[in-house]
Amino acid sequence: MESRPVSVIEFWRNPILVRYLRARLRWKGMLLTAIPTMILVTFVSLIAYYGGSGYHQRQVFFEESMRQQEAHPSPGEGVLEEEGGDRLEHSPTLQQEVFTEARRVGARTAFVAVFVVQCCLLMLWGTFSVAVGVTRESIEGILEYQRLTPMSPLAKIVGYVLGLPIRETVLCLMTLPFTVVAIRVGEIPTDLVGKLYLVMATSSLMYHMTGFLAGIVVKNRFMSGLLSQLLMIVLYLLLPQLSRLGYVIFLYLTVRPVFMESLGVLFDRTERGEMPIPATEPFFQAEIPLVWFTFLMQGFLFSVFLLVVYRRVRNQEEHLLGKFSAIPVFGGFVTILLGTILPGIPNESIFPSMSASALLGDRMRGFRSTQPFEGEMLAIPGAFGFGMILILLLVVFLVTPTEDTRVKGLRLARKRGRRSVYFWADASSSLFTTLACTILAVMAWMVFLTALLKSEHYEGWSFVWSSWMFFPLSILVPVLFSQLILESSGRVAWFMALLFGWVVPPMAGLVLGLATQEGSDLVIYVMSLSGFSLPINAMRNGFEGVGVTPAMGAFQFSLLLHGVAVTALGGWALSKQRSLRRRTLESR
Amino acid sequence: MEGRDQQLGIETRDLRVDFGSFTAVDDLSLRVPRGEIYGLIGPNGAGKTTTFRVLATLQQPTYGEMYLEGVDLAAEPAEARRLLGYMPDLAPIPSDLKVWEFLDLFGASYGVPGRVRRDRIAECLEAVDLVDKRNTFCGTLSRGMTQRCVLAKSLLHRPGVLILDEPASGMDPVSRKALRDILRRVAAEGTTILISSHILSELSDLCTHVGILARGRLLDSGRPGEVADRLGKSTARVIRINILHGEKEAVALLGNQEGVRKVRKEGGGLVFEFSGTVDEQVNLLRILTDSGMPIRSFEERSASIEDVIVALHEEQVAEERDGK
Repeated sequence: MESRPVSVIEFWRNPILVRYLRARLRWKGMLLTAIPTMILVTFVSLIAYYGGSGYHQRQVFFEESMRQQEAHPSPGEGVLEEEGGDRLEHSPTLQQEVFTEARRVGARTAFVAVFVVQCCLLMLWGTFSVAVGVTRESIEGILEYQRLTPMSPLAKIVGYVLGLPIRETVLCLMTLPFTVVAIRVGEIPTDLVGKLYLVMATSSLMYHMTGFLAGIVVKNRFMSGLLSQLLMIVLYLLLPQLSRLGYVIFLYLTVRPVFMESLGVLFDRTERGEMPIPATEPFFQAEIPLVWFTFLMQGFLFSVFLLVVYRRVRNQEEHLLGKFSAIPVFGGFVTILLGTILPGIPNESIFPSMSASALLGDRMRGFRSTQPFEGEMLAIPGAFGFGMILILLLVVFLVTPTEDTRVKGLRLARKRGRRSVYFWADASSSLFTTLACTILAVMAWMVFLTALLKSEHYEGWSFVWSSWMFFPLSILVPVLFSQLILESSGRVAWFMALLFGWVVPPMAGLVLGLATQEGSDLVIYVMSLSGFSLPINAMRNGFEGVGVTPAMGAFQFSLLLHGVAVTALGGWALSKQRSLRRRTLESR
Repeated sequence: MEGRDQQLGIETRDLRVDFGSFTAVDDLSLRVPRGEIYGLIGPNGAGKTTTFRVLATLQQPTYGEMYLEGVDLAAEPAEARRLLGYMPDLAPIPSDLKVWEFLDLFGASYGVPGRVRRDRIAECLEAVDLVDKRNTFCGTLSRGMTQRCVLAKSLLHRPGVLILDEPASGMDPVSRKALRDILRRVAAEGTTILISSHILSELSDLCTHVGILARGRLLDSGRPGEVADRLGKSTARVIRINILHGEKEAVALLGNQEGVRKVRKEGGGLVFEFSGTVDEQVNLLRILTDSGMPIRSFEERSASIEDVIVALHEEQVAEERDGK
């Protein structure tokens, strides 16, 4: 009979999934985890139910009492009587109505509480299981057996991603009866439930892929578990904070937007005068429903992780990101970033001071600021440029070959009768990919800056003519500097150069500033030594209409310094590359 | 470029693997006919495991061509993997699976259909004598049983080529014999076997061909008896003498004798290499006693395969240097 490995879509026959169904769902292990889980969920749902319904009853009775006391101020006249000193008696009709509503509110609270537990089970515990499981398979060598089988890399990934967290998935399914009861008693709309669980499923898949990535990259079981949890914290708690600066893309990597929208519907928050939660998110000119927007953002990150993991499952020695694929991946990221941040300019969400003032203004019915601070107006576009450099550094790190890889590539080329390695091969120079991604970053930055200047907040501001040259250079030069050091001198030299050249100077400048208690020019010059400071400093020099700021020459000084370094490094890297090629091609 | 030879089970041409500046495998060319058992012998660090990993598509070579039953590993790695059964050194095994589950996982991964898979599992367990361990957790198996279990896994999809990296390491003599019997049976069915060891005697009565690998280079290859003969002739014996006194004079005297090399003090005696014939060895002993040396003992120590291979390699390096 013809042997045919399972395809990706036949996931129920996937041998790796079946392997984990057997290994992770044995009675003993399941009982040991299911019993505590069920006890926890029972406890949480009961506490939430009684807490929620009790709170609702107390609140309604309190409001009713206050209303009736206002209508009948003197005691003994009205329907209210004190009983036991602190309890007020209400009409049976009201009590029945409140009781019915309280049951509904209690069940809704329980629904939310169980949902949170399910998220923890799937996302926290499940991701941990994936990361640790993949590392274990990798360390023990079982992953190598799997690499040898004729199953496609994609089918293997599906097997691991669905199989490793199978116990957590089953535990989650076991808690569903609580959810079903809560939905029935709480009369929760099915579309809301569908949306929430769909987003939970996509988020879980994305986080499990994060765990897979951590597991396949890190060679230590404990460290991979730790890294996966750190990634979870970064993706779930830290990056979403950037949404306060208009980078809402990071908020949608979590279930939070859809969850918050659902809370609003479940507990009628708008009717109670709380902040309305928008049902759509702007993307360029379009308004996309939150749930679809979440799918878009999570789908993008999932695809990138899948690409990386696919390469590693196929061949352990490949770079995490190919030189060619890095360009569309980076381009996609930049497009999504622009699509989400540009609408933040007219709606002012990119300016923290205005967002805060809007919040306070709405809450306290006080004054609202109509104009951001000048410092903020410079810092917002500067931070965008700084962020671009950070991401470009990551791309450069991922696609730049080590000397060993280059030597190997050159030997292969020699064997094939060529003088150089293939253009997109891992062993080739990363210069082209670096330049292509940097151009994309510069274009995105210029689009953002142009949109800012067109907005009413930047009225009276315009580009200085030299900005069209200096702004691109302020990203290009530091990124090239980093690429040339990494390619010519290796990872240790790269790390040290960035640490002492780019991280230490701003720290030293801060200390110096605090020690001298003044923002002297020297402090600014010291801080400007860092390549990270270039796009921020460029903002101070690049616009007409901005007031004079101290040490205006710091930007040109830093750019010149980095420019000289790039020229020197470029020459050195070229001669080193020639020498490496000559040595390798001429050697035995 | 030469065409691929369909009659060969395994073929490598100018295979080279580098780790930075270190060359682990240096222009290795192997030709193993189908159904043969080829033993690759060499000391630790010779490049055996690297060669096997490259042939198993687990590692990229720097360059070189490789074919399994005529299938090009670079062009059709998936097809090559179907043909291949690989058992690494100290083969790992998942501790959370039962023996049959482990075999079922890999049978299914290779696409062996359900009913056929069940029969094959039973067949392979019988071949490696693990039928009674079918429902035992893999983590509780002994070293020898683990090796046999992984061998069963490697045989399950009926590979045309079986690559076994030191499969007998950690096995007791009974298990080793059982392993040899299994491999002979498998080879008789037409499977090409490439097996490694650092012990020549372990492979000499099993393999149809052997190759000697040292520092990434194939030093010699051929039928085991022929290779063993050549190794014996081309390398020196190690002789150890114990004398009561006068070591300095003994060293001077030995240094003047033909065929004596590398005289050194070792554990209260003198050790040296002697490359003469047996008659010359007898003559050497006579010279020593005639000179009045108070000899307490004179013993010949046969060199280990590792010593032999290293010596052979050093000779080759010296010849190359002199040639230049």
